[in-house]
Amino acid sequence: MKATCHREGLLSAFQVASGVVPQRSPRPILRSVKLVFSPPDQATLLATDLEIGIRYLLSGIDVDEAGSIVLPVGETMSILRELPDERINLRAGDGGVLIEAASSRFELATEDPQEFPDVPEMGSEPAHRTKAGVLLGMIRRTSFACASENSRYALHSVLVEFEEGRFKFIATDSKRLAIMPGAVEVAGEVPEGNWLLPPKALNLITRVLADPEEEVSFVLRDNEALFRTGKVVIYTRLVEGRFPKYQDVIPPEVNFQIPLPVGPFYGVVRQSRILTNDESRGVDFEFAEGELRLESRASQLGQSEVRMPLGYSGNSIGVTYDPQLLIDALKVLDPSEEIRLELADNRRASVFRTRDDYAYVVMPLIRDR
Amino acid sequence: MTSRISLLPSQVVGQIAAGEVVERPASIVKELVENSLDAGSRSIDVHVAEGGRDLIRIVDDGEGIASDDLPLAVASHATSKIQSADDLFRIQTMGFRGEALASIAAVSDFRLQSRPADQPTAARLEVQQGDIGPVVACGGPIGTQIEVRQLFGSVPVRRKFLKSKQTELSHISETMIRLALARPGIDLKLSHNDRTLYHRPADMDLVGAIDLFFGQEIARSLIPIDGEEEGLRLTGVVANPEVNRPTQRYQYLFVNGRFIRDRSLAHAVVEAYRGLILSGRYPVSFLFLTVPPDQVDVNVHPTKIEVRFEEPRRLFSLILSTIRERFLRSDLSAKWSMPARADFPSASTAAMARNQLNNEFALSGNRPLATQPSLWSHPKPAIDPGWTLSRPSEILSHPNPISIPSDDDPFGSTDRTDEPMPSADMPPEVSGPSSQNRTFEEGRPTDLASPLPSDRADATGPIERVRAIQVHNSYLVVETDEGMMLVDQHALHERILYEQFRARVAGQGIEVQELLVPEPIDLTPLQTALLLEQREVLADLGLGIEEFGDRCVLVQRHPALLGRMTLGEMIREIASRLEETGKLPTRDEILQDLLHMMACKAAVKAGDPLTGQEIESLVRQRHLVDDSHHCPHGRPTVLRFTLNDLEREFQRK
Repeated sequence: MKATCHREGLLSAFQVASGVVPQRSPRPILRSVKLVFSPPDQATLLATDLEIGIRYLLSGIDVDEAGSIVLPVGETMSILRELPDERINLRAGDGGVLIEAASSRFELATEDPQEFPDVPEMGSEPAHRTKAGVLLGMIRRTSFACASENSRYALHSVLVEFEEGRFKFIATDSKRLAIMPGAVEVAGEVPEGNWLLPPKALNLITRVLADPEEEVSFVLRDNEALFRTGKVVIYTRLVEGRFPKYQDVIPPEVNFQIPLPVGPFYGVVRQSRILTNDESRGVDFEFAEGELRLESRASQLGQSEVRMPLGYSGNSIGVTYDPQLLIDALKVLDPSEEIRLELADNRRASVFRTRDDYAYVVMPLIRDR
Repeated sequence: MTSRISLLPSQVVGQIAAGEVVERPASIVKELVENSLDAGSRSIDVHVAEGGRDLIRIVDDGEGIASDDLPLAVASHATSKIQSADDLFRIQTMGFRGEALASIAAVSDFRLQSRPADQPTAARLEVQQGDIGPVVACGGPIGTQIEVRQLFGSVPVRRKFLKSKQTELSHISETMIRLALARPGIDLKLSHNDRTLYHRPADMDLVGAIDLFFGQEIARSLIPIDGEEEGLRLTGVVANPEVNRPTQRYQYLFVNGRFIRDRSLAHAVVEAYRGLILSGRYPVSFLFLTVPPDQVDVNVHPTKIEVRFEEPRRLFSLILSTIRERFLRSDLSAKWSMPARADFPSASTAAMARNQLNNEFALSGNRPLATQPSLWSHPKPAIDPGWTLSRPSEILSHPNPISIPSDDDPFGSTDRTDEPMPSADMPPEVSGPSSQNRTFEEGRPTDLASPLPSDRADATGPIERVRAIQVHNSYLVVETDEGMMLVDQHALHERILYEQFRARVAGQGIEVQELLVPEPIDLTPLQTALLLEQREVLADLGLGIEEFGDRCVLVQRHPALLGRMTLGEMIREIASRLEETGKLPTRDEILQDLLHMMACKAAVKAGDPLTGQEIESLVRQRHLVDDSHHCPHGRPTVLRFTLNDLEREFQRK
């Protein structure tokens, strides 16, 4: 194998792939990536931790001799970062790989490319299609709401469901729940069932999506899913387990509807969070005609009161929230947007809704004083 | 008035005798299930209500009692199990004294219904608090059914002394566990207030039963044991030393299919684990001894829980050597024989203990081990009194008492008094008004040595010189004015955090996080039942739980205050506390426990390297560990050495 590559192009492919490569592994070869060169000008970079895998297509390469090599991620990335050259040469040698530039030469001892586990490729089966921008928005607005670890329910995952013309991502850690729909062109019948995607795979997808207009196609199988953009295929195993019945968490009745401008609201919530701590986490939100007042109090820390004008003219209501739960969601919304808070009362779940059908459900805190 | 001596009426005699056998509902369950076992039952179903105070019902499929024998069954010293005194020395049955039914019937509303296989119908006999009724024929299945209602109805004093239903239930549960472990191959079921707590099918093996009763952690760590010596046989399983418990409750010993307690043999087990687990922790073991019946006397105590052996020493050495040899043969020993690594992993104390064991094995094989005064592996028992230098008298007579702790017992947890720390010992920022308002109902002893004002300066004064180093990423060696001390960094930090949390929570309510999706938490059946019984107390604390099958609860809401604990950890911790103490914890106790757990989770661990500043900040608050009665693992937290003692050890004096 022998080829000449564009250094920065190779580096950015390595940077994406490093999101898959495990920090430590009983199989050392997984700490490497595999490069498969095919004439005249292409190479595919493969990386996997056996749960998630990526195939990254590189073009504009001068392939003199086809073949495969395996490169350790850490060292190779450092080399690519440090070299000043625009182009570098790669050559397979006896038990190693040679990286050459104008005035540098690195011989890396590497493993046998045959040993590298395969990363599944998208087959010829029909795939659903959506826009990168849509998918990106769905991931950003839901994946943060996943639980950090698994309980009996598979909460460390994002649920995928389909309805007519749309698909939805749903995530919850049982204190809050995020639902985001997006437009999709379904291949064939509207799929029935539900699929649980690991957040790590979704995070990886966000790293390869750049142009929001770009098309993303994807297939969901029984225990795996594949996503493809122009040059990248991401493979992931699905999370096994049961996702709780989330449809019941939104109270059917709405007694309060409060419009909130995202930017200013985000600001006052952040302020009110300052004087809270683990033992006194709650901030009291008092929504009244024309004004929102936030109060926090933590012993040994102090107390705060923050106000914000409000375009609201209904009855007053006071609710206590863990401000961090609101901040997590407000952070991923457009500051110029206006959202609507819907409440049945101050004990049941509150729902924040955007115009594009994003729903963020938060369970209030109850304080026994 | 002169008292004349008179014979007591038989009913009173019955009530007195009942006292020996019928101590509490659990003893009734034990006697009746043993009868069922002796009757050759294959399936025994035990149902109790309200911890056994209101109802104990036992249904078996054994050989039954002929209707003519029913009145005899409730007469004293009537039994089918032995015929003469000689039989006492060849006992193969569980019971033999002929006391149980009579005693139980004397103090309850008792109903006995039975039908032997060769009898076309069943017959029934009722005894109301000692008044024996007639035998009545009735329909019924083959086997015996006994119902005991209104226990101690005629002895109000005794009834009053029954503990809470949780306590009685946990005793019953423990009784059933012992019987089930002792007698495999029999279908045993225990239910309480219509909830099935345990069902051990006939075909479940020992490990399966242990999983059922004690959970996966123990079941997965079991190592089989098998040893034999001149007619004595030892079988069973013991847990890997890494899985240990703070009490000896989990050491089960059965002799000829009977659960017994024997201090000497229990000690043999502890001895076998010596050096493998920390002091204050105990092994988990399920051991079955087979001893020829003529070498053991079970007629020592009415409940037969204590027995006498002809040659206890042989049994002791059989247990000790069998377990030890098994440990040496198993993978464990391979792991222990690895050279000690410089950086101790998470549990460096355990690593120390392993090293020490290694040495012991290398030196001594099987012989009982001389106690080395090792500071690391058993500080508590092993230290020569001469080393615990700062006894109160010495402190108080010390010429320069500047940073002398004012605590009564400067050696901290050695005798684990339950006295809280005098408030004056807290640093000012912690002992502010908030901690005065008694969210925690701790009595403040006033008779403690009056606190020395300089002690506070010690805590906060910036002038104080702190000279301390960290050793093995686990302990701090601190120079003190009177000498030096060794501090367990985890215990110290945990204590400091606890005080901080306590001060912060005091004076403000608990925040409760409602859950959108209730979280299911898996528990053992007994834990599930105990938690559900305590539902109201827990609700008061912000913990909302619902029933969800026998081995699971659904958590609907929980205190927002979880720290680094997961919800499951907290629930299981509370459940196992309920199980161990069997008492109803108050809101403050649970809260205190929670804070302790949080502190423990959040504190630096043994093995965490600390920076100089961190060490300094920890050591500045070291006075807090003097009151370490809460160290949850029962270990000492501080060892003190005075200059005097160092000099003596180095023979300068």
